[in-house]
Amino acid sequence: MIRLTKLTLLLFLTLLLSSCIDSQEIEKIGIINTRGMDVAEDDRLKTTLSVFQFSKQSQQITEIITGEGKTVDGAMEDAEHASVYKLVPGNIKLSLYGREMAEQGILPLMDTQTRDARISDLMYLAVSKTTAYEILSIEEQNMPMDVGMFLHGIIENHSTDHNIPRKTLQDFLRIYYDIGQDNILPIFELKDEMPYHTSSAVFQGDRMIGELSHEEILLINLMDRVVKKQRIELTLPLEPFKKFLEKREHRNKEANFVFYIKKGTSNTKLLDMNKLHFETNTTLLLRLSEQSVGIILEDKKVNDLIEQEVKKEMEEQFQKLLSKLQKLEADPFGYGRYYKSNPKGKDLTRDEWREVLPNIKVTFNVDVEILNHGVTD
Amino acid sequence: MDAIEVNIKIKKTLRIRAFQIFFIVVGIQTGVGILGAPRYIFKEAQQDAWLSVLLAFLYMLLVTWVMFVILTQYQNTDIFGIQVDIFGKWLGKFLGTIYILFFFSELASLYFSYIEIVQIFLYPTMPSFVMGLLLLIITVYAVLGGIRVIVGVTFLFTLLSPWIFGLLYDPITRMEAAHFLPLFDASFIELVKGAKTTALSFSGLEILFIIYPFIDNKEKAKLPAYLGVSVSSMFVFLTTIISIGYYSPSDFDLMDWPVLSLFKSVSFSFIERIDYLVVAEGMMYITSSMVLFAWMITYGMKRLYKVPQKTTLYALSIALLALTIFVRSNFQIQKIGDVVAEFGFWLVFVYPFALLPLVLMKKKGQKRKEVKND
Repeated sequence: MIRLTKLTLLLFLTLLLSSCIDSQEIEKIGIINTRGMDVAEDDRLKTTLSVFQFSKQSQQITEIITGEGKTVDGAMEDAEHASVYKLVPGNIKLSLYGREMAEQGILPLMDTQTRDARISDLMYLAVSKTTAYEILSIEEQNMPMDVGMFLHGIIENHSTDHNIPRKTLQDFLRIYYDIGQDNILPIFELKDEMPYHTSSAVFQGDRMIGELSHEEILLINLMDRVVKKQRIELTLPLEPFKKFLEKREHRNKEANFVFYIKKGTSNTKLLDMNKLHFETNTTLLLRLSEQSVGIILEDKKVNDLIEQEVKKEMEEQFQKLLSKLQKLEADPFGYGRYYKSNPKGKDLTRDEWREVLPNIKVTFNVDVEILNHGVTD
Repeated sequence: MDAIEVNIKIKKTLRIRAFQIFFIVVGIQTGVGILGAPRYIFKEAQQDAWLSVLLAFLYMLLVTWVMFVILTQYQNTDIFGIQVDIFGKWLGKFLGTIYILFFFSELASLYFSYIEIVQIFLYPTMPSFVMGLLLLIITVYAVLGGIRVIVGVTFLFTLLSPWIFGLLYDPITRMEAAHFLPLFDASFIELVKGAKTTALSFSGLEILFIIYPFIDNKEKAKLPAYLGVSVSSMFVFLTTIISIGYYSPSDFDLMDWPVLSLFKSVSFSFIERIDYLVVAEGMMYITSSMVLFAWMITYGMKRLYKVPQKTTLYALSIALLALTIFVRSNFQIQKIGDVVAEFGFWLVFVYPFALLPLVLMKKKGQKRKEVKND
């Protein structure tokens, strides 16, 4: 009996103690789902928060709040003044940076995000072509859902089948701190009051320094991971296919092709440390899905010919992108990683790699195999 | 001062089975240390940190073997008895007291680290005092139950908690192979230094020295001990490998609890933030270690100074609670951890080797005497 009383007392004590923790009722908090960061005047930061709130009075679930401050936390605090509820940052799913902000460097803004354990590492990062405020504050009527969630959904669902970089906070930081690779983030732009993913931003360290098109992102993806179920559109010269054309009028000098990449993989080697010579071998398994000119694909020869042309075109695209990136002094391909993996290059620093990057030479070998071409020849 | 008996008799009802040694070893070694261990190993051995863990593992097997050799020289005793037998009453008791102080600092390190983790990850405004009281209530409650309850707690919690390692599948898919290159770059000295840093997370192994007399079927105790050491090494090995692949080296260097942060990238549609759950789950790991340390302290005090176990238990709880008022900053807590790591290395992983020849010599001498007397 005494034991039971003791136990009850102990349990009772635990109950009392648990009230020492702040309770958070969902009706009384605002859950931030998206945070935009822009540059304001006088070196200040402007934050735009898209907040979920579940109070009875308001019909609207999402609310847009802005705040300004010298630091991220300060701006959030300022925004909190404009909200009836306590804002909680535990579930921020997307961080959107205005272009100017991104060009100034976004690492200082990330400190509080990594320091505060309550903030999720899984938030996606993206850049707005203009300001984060402009995108987040568009009229809700035009949208199927909350803007922040809409953008998050685009990144979440399309990153595998479209060329959209899906980078979480953790990914960004890892690549940032890994010497020998640079980040890419998606850029969103308003078109007819709707946000679109139009291109992607290349970063040098934490500063955005240029834009890449969807096609260029595909090349980076091909090097970075196994690409599957991805569409690729290529324009090839018509000349080599002259003999195999259908009997129709041919007005164009070029032929457009659409392929689906069944599987695309790459493998990179550092051939010569001193000459900075790299080699990237890419294997592409393709399925032809559209062609504009009517090439008859009866013969194996035609198939081989297309494969050859695709190979040439792809290798050219790779080279072009490489020289573009060398001019920007950014390395989203991550050649520096291969350099650093070599025992002789392990002491590579960020600045050294920036200096070396414009001088690297890469031999791209693309091995193309067209597996099938649908039900017609 | 009374002399203490070298060999002790343990009542049949207080004895434990040999297989439970496995759970005791895993339970006590897998505490809060593992959450930060990869970082410290990485600091010394860089991308070859995983080799350091393997090295530490092999070394631990050796230490365990030595401990068993020492223990089997006697009929039924623990480290307190052995030290009195070898060094005499005064020095033996003094060394035993050092052991007890070491257990207390290990307990304190666990206790403060976990309070800090809860405050950082879950409730920044929660007073340390409250969290401490909650932890101590559960510890005192379990220790009051006696050795069998303690072993039961360890058994249950060690069995129930490892599933969280399964959640690491997500960081595994995000690992970067280039982080491991170039392979075998660290020198042997660096590897050894890295292995040495595991002392904090692997400390607790000394429990074999204390709990040995309680084992019922001693001849079967070796295998479970080796297996326990292997499993807790495997946990550290696994988390080290994943951390190296997942974090970029210069980022990794700055993480306080890299292993906890690994869980931040795991998310399910029904639980968005699994890391909250992992922190709460961590209480199982902490409790099993805390309970064992608290028991060792109370038992040691009883053996050396005949202080009733309850008295020690209450005194130590009050001491820890009082300390919560003084130990507040992250640096203080780290300092305790550093002291435990440094001291633990010598006491747990080096001292048995020094003790071994002394014990063997003494036993040889005794045998010779016996032969003469016959």
